[in-house]
Amino acid sequence: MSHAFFRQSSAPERPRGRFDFGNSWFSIVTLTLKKLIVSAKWKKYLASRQKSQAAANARFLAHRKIRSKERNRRVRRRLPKATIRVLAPKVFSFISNPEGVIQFIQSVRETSVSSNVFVDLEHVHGMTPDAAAVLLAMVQHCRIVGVNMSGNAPLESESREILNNSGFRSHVRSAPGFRATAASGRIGKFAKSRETESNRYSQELALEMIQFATLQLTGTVQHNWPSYSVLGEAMLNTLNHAAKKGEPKEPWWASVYHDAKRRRACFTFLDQGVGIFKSHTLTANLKFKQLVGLLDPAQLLEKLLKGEIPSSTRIAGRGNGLPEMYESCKAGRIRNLRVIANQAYGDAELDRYFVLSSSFEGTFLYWEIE
Amino acid sequence: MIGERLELSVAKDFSVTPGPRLRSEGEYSGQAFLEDLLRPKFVSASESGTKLLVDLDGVAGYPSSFLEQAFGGLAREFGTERVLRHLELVCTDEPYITDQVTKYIHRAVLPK
Repeated sequence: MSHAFFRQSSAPERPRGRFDFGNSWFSIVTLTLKKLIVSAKWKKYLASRQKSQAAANARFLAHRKIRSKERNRRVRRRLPKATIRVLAPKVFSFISNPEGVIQFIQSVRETSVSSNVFVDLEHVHGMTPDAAAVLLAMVQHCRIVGVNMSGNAPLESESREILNNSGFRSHVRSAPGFRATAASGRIGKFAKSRETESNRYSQELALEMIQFATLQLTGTVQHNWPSYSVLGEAMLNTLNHAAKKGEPKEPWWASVYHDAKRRRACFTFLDQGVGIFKSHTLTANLKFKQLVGLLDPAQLLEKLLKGEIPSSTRIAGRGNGLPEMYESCKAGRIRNLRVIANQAYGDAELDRYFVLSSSFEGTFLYWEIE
Repeated sequence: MIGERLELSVAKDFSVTPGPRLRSEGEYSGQAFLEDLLRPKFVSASESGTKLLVDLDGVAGYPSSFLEQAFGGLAREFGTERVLRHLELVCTDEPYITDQVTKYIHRAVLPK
């Protein structure tokens, strides 16, 4: 019998199927896996995994974008900005020199677009307490746009005293070595950065200012209803009407200063919103008169103060704030009421109204009590 | 009809610091005063044929919006005549406030 190199299998022939790879373990596993992959449950699992992986990728990309923006911003912040000197008006008083102060405000705003601001107050004479609130509003504006604002004090003693004692120093960092003297004033604010439900309308702030004023004037803490009313209405007007479209509530500044010489307490309220005339919706008749030049901003302000123009809300019972302030002034309950809004300046006590050559974007109120 | 007069003091029953016009604007609003205190007491006084005495003294002051919302709002709801018939105001701190409130009641416009 000869030995052959190969031997024919002696096992019986098995029928050959589609996935028949013989008896190997590998073929069984592969066969099983293929059956799993094509089944609906596996497909669903794979799809879900793909989705969550895509979401994770998107999150990662978004996070990377934010990180790179922050890195770029940090780099931008490190780049030094030039500091430009802005000269304050010689008569730094909104009530006596509204044109000069408006131009100063515009200069600060323009300069703060790309540079730090240094306010030069050295040559200022005849500063009034309302100027402190204006300065602080400018400080706030610079902070919002991301530039620094600094400055010096007036050389003239009376103006320097007003600046130092008005309460201005408690809102800014003073130069090292500066020693504060007894304050003759208080300044309070409602600012965007600290907006809360509780201080949107702050009767506590109004009360604090009035109590400070009466304590300085009379030696005792008293109420002053007319000032409380004016402050309250001013806050409400700002909160409801001053904000630009799409912007959150507009910040406002309120200040009180005791003028010992004249024995009066001087109140100021200031916001840099849109101003009365941009927020006020006039009737069609008045709008037409304004368009054709028959009614200028000063005349409009006079009509508003005298209650001859309905509220822009057109809701019954509204629009009493300014007329009540005017009536309080005429009755002698408050003195020297001044209103500046957009291009109009009004002196309610003397009933003098005129148009300003530059527009003030905001509303300014000033009054005194004795 | 003689009945006991009802009394309401803003300072003691509500707040010494009256606030804005509406609840949404801040605390101690004219709307809150009207809805929570003034209206229920006025209705009681009106239905029993008596007067409601509102004492306006003892507060820090009144924004005009507060007064208008409270008393003007009352007049818009119940009518000027009815309000003037059943409402009495007292204010010794600043007497001009009662004239102001009366003005708001007269000028209140009824909803159509």
